[in-house]
Amino acid sequence: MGERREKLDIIKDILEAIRDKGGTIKPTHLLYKSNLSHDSMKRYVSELMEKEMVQEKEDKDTKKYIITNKGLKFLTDYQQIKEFTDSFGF
Amino acid sequence: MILLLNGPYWFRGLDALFGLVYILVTLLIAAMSYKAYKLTEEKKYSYFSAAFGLMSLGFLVYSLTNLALTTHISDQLNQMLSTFDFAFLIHMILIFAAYTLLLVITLKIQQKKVIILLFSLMLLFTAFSYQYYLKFHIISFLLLFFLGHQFYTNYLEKQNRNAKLVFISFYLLTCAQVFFLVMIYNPIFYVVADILQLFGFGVLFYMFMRVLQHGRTKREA
Repeated sequence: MGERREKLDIIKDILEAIRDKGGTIKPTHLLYKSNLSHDSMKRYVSELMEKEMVQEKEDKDTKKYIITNKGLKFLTDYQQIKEFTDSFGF
Repeated sequence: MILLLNGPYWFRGLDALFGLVYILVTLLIAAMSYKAYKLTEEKKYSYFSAAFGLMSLGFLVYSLTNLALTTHISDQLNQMLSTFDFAFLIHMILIFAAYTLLLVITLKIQQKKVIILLFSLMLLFTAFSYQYYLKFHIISFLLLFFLGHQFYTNYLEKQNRNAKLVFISFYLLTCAQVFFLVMIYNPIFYVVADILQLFGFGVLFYMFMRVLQHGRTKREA
């Protein structure tokens, strides 16, 4: 059985999935890549949109998610934060 | 001000300088933890940040008072500080609050009743205590020992060098409390205790720099 992912890791996985798709991703692809349930993914994505790390875009009736500069900044900070939290056992 | 001016005469003032190191290290940890909180909005990081912030404040009160007393900046201030032990009392309250908060987070205590009980006990102990100095270091020893053990368990689980540095740092801080206690037999033990404490925070600082450096290296890779 896999280890339970922390919120920090889930956010990183979502943002990484978008970035690795060239900065834009369809919800179905994100659902597959992030390995989350539909409800969880929606909850996380709306939280990321609130934090302005992700934007939603309608393109020819297709919904897409775009990673913002703030989202990219999170990915660069992630490694530091992860090592820091691991050191104290969070 | 018996409680603050400890140790041999030649060491007075130096411990205030050591205090600056403690303030810097605890502030850095608090800032990094606050950054984690801003990114995730998980409360545990904000509490962790608050705990180190309280520690920093505690050391600031201690160092400033110590410095004021050693350098005799103002006779009036010195007289006031010497009459009451309130500087040590404030230092004690802040440090106990910090350690208790750290314990609540690291032991993942979630029951509000238990948390309230812990803080109430600490507050009552502080308010109705006499012989502050001895009791402060006995309780600090216990709290730090449990924290060190918890960080040791984390090291066994994670098996990484930073986690190792964290538990070593907390065990050094725990050992320092023993020497603070036996200081009543020989003032030189106060110097030993302060040096151990300095090493403890030094190790924590080294861990922090490794996190910064390693994070940067991985980003560049």
